[in-house]
Amino acid sequence: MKRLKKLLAAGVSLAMVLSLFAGCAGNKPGGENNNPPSSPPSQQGDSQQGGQTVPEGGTVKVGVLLPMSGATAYYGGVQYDGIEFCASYINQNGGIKSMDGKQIELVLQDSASDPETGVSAFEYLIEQGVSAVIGPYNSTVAAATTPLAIQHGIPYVITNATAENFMGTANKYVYRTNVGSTDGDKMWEIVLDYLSTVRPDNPTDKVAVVYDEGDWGSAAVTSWRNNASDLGYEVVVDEAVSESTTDMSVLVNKIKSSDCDLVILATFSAATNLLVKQMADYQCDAKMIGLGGGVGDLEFIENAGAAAENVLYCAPWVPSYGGAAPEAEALAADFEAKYGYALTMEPCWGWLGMATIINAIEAAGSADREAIAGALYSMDVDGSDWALWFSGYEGVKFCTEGQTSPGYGSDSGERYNQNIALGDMGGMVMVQVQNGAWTIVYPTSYTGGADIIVY
Amino acid sequence: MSFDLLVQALIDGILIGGVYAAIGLGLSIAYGVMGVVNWAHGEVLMVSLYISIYLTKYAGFDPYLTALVNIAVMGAAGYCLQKAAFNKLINRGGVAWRDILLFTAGMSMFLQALFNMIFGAEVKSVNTRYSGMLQLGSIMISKPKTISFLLAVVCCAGLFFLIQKTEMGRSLRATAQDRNTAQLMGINANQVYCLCFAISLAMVGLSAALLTPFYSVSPYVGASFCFKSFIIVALGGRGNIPGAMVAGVLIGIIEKFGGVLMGDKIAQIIIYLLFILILLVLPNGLMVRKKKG
Repeated sequence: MKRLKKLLAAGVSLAMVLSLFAGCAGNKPGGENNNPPSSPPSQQGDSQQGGQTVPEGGTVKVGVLLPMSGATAYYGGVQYDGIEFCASYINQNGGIKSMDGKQIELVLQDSASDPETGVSAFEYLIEQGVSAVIGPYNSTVAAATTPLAIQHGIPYVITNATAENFMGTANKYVYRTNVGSTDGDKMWEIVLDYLSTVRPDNPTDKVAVVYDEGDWGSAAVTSWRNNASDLGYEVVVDEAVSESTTDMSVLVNKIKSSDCDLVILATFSAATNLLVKQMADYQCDAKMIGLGGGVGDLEFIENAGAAAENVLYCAPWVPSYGGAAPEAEALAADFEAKYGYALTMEPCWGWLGMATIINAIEAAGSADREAIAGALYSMDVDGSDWALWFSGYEGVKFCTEGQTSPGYGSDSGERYNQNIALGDMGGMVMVQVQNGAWTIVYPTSYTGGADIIVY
Repeated sequence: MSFDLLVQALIDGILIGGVYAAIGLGLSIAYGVMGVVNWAHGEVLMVSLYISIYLTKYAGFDPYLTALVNIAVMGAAGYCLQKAAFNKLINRGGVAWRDILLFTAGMSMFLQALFNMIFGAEVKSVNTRYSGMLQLGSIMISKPKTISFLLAVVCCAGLFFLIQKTEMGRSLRATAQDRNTAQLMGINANQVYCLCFAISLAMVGLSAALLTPFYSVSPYVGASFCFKSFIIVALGGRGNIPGAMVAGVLIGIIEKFGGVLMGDKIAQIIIYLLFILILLVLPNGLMVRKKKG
């Protein structure tokens, strides 16, 4: 047994060391390395720090920091598709016009879904001389890398990471285009009010909250849960789960015995799949509403089968829900032809973030980091801009002067550089699995005013 | 806290614990006989789950019958791997357990990356005809988990018989006790090691089929099962089949009871704490009898 202890200690150490090496590899989905760490530093991309000028080259390099391995590799992969699609769209349409058609070159690095690896990968991108960075999907990685962006003066457009704890510093480098976790509060108020109007004799009042133990899951539910009792809801089950959970029967039975009306889910794929199936197995009839993560997966309905029927999803609007601009519809079809699946939230948010960087480069007319940061700082585009073709927001305008709310991350309850042109619903709609397919059920403007929700 | 909830947790814990035991047994056998730890144990399970799920989904196999394919494929893979790699590492001298640990750690990462590349990182699962519940009053018993539990018990009992009552089993036990003496008695230790690792991986393949009706797979699914397997080895004692069964069921019960009483996260912490305590206090596991005199 002495040997077992030695084996375990050695094994754990080895796994930690090897995972660091693994995180250095920037593998694209499909295993293609865009820019392996062994390749020499770019000749044109001399490392510049403190917001100094990046030497002009044949292309404008944009760093992409995403999880291509680890627990959230799937999401990183599909978000990269949206970013790549956006860059290739611009490259095929004349490049950056204010820079004589310069092409965008993406430099991908893998965060391995891990903050420490994310820091190494971000530093590598800085050494590569990128003009800006987009990413990192995970809130934990965002919290670890945003200080680097501020310290080195790198324009950093955050995609997906919705926690608020890394948005509390006044600066001109870190911006977030999509909603933060607290931006969902208004949406929740609207959606839950609507659910109560659907069945006025039995309004929803008891809810279960099930969330992933990581930053995203906690952040997605914390703000709303803190206000739940003021809003008239009783949280009867409140549990964090892990993506590596192998069985949910206990949780399902707790939910069942709590007699709750609605389960709010902020969990990733494996946990969502397991929970939804076991809810059906144990004949628990509470309705489920997901906030993204697992319910947003392409294969959610196929994986969960009949158990997925009537599951609700507060989903960021995507073109397949209808109402897209003609150019967006055509591009969505191109995307599906190229990547083999219809646009979902992650690629759409990837497009928005990448298009925002491109708009900033275009406005700056330069690959210079300071100029790009300045363009982001003063950005103000409306919903008709090409950057917003795949999102339901009203525009992109950052709160550079700061916003204050108890839910925000800094000690003073402030956040900076969040996109504030989000609209009341935060660019969201509510969809439901009906007859094995996602059907939009709210706002009812999409349904001709009818309540088609099954609730 | 209702009594029904605790009874339900007990039943759920026993059923899932049986499957954990079958998974952990593969690791326990390899460690018990050869004294080496397969760090890629969870990834072998992941590969087997892909085989089972794809055969069920696209080739119309019954999920439990995919066990036959998995046992054959994983058994052959284990035999070849031992013969081509591990025996060489063992026979060349030096610290074989360390070399094999490093080898399998590399293999674990290789398999994760390979399956991510081939199948993508998304979760895959299959909906089978094995679903639904048996209802006893307010208690519900999952049909697929009951079938998986019973199959796990039967297979573990079969393996126990194989090890205790057959010539091959005697060779395995003799080699586990003293490789050199076993060789002097005419046992081909290299061949025994190959059979041992084949059995180890075949058990993992079998376990994957038991999980298929109610579990999903992704390239990163192996880690949590791998850690549970290490705990089963520590609790049950290395190479101890009844010990592995008891340890698996015990982990299942602690997980479910802990989940009811304190939440899933704390239940997991308790399991890992128990692991540490067992290593410190009962280093040979729960099932080892004290020698008289």
